[in-house]
Amino acid sequence: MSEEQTSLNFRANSAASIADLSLRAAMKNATDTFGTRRTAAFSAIPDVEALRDKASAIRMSVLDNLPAYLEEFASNATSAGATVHRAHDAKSARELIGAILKERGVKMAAKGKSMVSEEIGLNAHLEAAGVEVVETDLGEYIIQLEGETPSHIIVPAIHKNRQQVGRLFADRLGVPYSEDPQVLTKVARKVMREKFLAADAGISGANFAIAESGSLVLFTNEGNGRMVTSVPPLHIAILSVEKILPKLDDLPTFIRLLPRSATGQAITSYLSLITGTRKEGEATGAQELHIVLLDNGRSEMLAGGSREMLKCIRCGACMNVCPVYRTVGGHAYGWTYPGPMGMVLTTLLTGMEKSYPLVDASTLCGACVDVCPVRIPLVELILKLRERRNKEGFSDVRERLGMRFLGYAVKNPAVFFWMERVSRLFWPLIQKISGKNVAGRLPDPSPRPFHRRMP
Amino acid sequence: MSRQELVAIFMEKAALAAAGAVQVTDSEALTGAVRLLVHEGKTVYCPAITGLEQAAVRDLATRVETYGEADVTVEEVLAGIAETGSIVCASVEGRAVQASLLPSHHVALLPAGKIYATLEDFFASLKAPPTNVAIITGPSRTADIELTLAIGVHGPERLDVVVTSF
Amino acid sequence: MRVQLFGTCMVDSFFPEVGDATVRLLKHFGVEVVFPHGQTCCGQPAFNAGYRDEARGAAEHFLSVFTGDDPIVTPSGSCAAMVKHHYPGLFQGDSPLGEKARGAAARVFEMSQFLVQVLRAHERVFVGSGKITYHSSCHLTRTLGVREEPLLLISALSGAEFVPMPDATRCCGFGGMFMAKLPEISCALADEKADSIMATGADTVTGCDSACLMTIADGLKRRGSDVKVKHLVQLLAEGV
Repeated sequence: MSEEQTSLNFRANSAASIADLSLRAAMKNATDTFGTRRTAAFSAIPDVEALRDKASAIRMSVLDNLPAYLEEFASNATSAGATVHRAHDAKSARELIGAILKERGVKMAAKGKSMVSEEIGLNAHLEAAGVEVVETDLGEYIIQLEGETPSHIIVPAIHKNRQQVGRLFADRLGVPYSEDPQVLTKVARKVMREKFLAADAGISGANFAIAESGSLVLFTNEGNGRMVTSVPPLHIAILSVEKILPKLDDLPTFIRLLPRSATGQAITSYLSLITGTRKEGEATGAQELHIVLLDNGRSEMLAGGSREMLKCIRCGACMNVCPVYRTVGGHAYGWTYPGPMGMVLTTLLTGMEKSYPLVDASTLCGACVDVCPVRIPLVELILKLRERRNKEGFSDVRERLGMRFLGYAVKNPAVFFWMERVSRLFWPLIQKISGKNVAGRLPDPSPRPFHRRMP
Repeated sequence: MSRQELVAIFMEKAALAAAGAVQVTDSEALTGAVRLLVHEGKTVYCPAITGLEQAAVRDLATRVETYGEADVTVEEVLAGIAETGSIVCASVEGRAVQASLLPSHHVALLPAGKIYATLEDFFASLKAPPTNVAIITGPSRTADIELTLAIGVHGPERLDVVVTSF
Repeated sequence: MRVQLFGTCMVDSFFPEVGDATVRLLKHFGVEVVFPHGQTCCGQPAFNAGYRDEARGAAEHFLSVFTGDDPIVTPSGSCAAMVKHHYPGLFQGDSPLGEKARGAAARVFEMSQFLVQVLRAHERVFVGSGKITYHSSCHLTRTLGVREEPLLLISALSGAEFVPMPDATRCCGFGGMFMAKLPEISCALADEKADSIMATGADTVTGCDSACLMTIADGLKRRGSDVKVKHLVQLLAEGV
C-alpha cells in the first residue's frame, strides 16, 4: 500500500489532532462552509430524492454486471486507440505504470489528482525509479511540497491555512511571502505551466469510465486535469474498476449530483470526455493512452455483504458532515480515505487486522446517510463491520465479557437490577477504574431507580 | 420554450459561473463585441475556419499563429448547454481543444441554434464522441486554500461567451 | 386510553425524575399508565457495538414483557428507534418473534411523538419561563423523523422564549460505547455543543433523549456554564 497505514493508532492520532488548534479551526471552517454550500446547491434543484434514487439504481446495476461492463469498456476503449490494462493489486499497478514510463524514457510526469494513485503508493514507486512526478492539482501540489498525504478526498490540503501555504511557497519556491489565496494561486499557475509543457507524460485518474463508448470522464476545476490528459504525448489513466457507468446518457444524473455534493457547485469548470487516442485529422488527444483498471480488493468486496460501498462516487459529502471527521481531520484515519466512506472502505480493502479501530470512529449519528448522493447505507455497513470485528476477535476482551454479561442480565431482571444496585454501591470505584472521561461524565446512579417507583 | 428563452437561461447560468455573456444579432455587432472584449495589445489566436470566426477577428491586428503564444483565443465552439451555462469544445474539424485551455482569456462564439436545453439533450447528440470533448463552465478556479475561491488557475482566467443569433 | 411505559435503562438508573415526569404528564392527559415490570434494556448498547446476538436476546426479553396491543411510550428517541427500526430485522421474517417484533415496532412511540400525534398536547397551554433552546437528537431526528413535534411542544410553553441553536442536529458526542472508547472525540463534540448552546443566550437546553442531555450537561459543566439541562417531558410536566 501507500505510506505506512496508521489506522491502528486512530485514537492516539485523534487525540493529537484534537489538541492541534489550527487544524481544528481549519476543519471547522471547511466542514461548515461545505455544509452551507451543499445545502444551498441542492435547494436550487427540484426532485433531489428522485435524483439520488436514480443514481443509486444506476450504480447498483453496474455492480450487478461489473465484469460485463468492464469488458465492454475495455473493448470500446481499445477500438478508440487506448491500451487497456487490468491490474489485480497495488504492486502490479505500480510496476505496470513504472514499466511504461521507463520504456518511453519518461523523465518527468505531470500528475492530475487521483486518490487511487495514493492508494497504491504510485508516486513513491515512480520517484524511486528516477521519474520526477509533479502534482499539478493545487491542493496536491501543496501537500507534495510539504511531504504530506491528502487529508480529504476533494480538497487534499484542507488542513492547512493560508499562512501555512504562504510560508511553504516562500520557503520552497523562493517567492515573496503572501497569504492571499489569489496570489498563491497565480504562483502555482506560473510554476505548473512550465511543467505541463515540458512533461513527457501525463498521469491522471478518472471520475467515471463509460462502457458504451470506452470514454474516461474527468470533473475538474483548475484546468490541470485537461492539461495532463491532452498536452503530453503519453497519457496514463488509472482508475478502480467500480468507476464504470454504462452509458453516456447516465452522465447527466451524476453531473447534477457529484459537483453539488462535493463542493456545492452546480457543475465543475471542466468536464472532460476522453475517448482513445488522437485520430486522423485531429489536433487534440494523446498519441498514446494507457488505461489501468485497478482491482485491489474490489472483486472481493463485490462478492461480499458490504458491496454497496462500491457505489461510492468519491464526492466527499459524507466526511463534510461527519462530526468525527470534523473533529479529527483526515490524517487520523491513517490511510488514503477518511471519514465515513474511509472507515468502511479502508477496513474492507486493507483488512480488519490493520483497520479495526476505525470501525468505532462513528457515533452512528446518520448525518452521512442523509447526504450520500448514491444512498450508501453507511450506518448499516459500519454496524456490519462492528459485528465482524467482534466475531473475528478484534474487540476488547473487557468489552466482550461485559457485553456477554449484559446480554445475560437484560434477560434476567433480577440479575439486571442486582447489577444496578452493585454499580451504585461501587460507583466511586467504577468511576476511578473507567476514568474521568467515562463514568466521570455520568451522574451518580439514583438510590431509588425508576422501576421501584412504579406500581 | 422559445430559442430566445433558451438563450436567456444560458446567459444567466453562464454569468453565475463567472463567465461573461453577451448576445449579438448581426455581424457588425459581433466584430464590435469582440473588439471590446480583447484588451489593448493582447495577442489573439483564431482558427478563422468559420464565417463567424472571420467576422469576429476582422478588426483585430494582433493575430498570432499558434494558441501556445496567444493571450486570447477567439473561436467558434461546438455547442452550448443552457441548463448549466456551459460551452462545448471538441476535437472535431481539426480543432485544437487546447486553444480553449492554454491562453489566459477564451472568447467563445456560440451560435444560438447550437444551444441544447439540457445535459440529456447534449449527450443524446453525442453518439460517437471525438477523442476530446470539453464541457466548459466559466473560467478555471480552485478553492484548495481555505475553501476561498480563486479564479484563474491553470486554465483560462477569463471566459467570455458571445451568443450569435443571426 | 392505556399505554405501556418503557422507562429505559438510562432513566431507570440515572434519570428516574424523567420517568416521574413522563407518568405525571400522561396522567394529566387522562392516560392510564401501565409499567410492565421486568423491563430492562432495549439492547441498543449491544446492537450498536456489533453484538447482535446479545441485542437479539434483549429484544426477545422486551417482547416478552411488552405484550398486547397498547401503545408503548418511551421518553427516549434512540430507544424508540431501536424498537421501531431494528427489532424486526433481528428476527426471521416469518417467525413468531418476527411477528411480535413487527407488532411492537408498529405501536412504539417516542414521548413527544405520542404527545403531539395522539394526545394533541401541543394545542394545550403549559406554563413556561425563560429562554429555551433545543438539541435535536440523532436517532430521533434521522431514524424516527421526529423534527416538528418537540418544537410544537416547546412553543406550547407560554411565557418561555424559544431560541434555536446553530447546528441543532449535530451529534452531541454520546454515541453509546463511543463515549467510552473515544472519549477525547466525544468530549470535543460535547464541548462544541455546549458552545452552540451558550451562544444562544438560553438559560435552559432541552431535548428528548437522556443520554444526549447527560453528555450535554457534562460539556456545559466543563465550560463552567450554568445553563440548565432538562428533558422536554420535565419542562412540560412542570408546566401543567
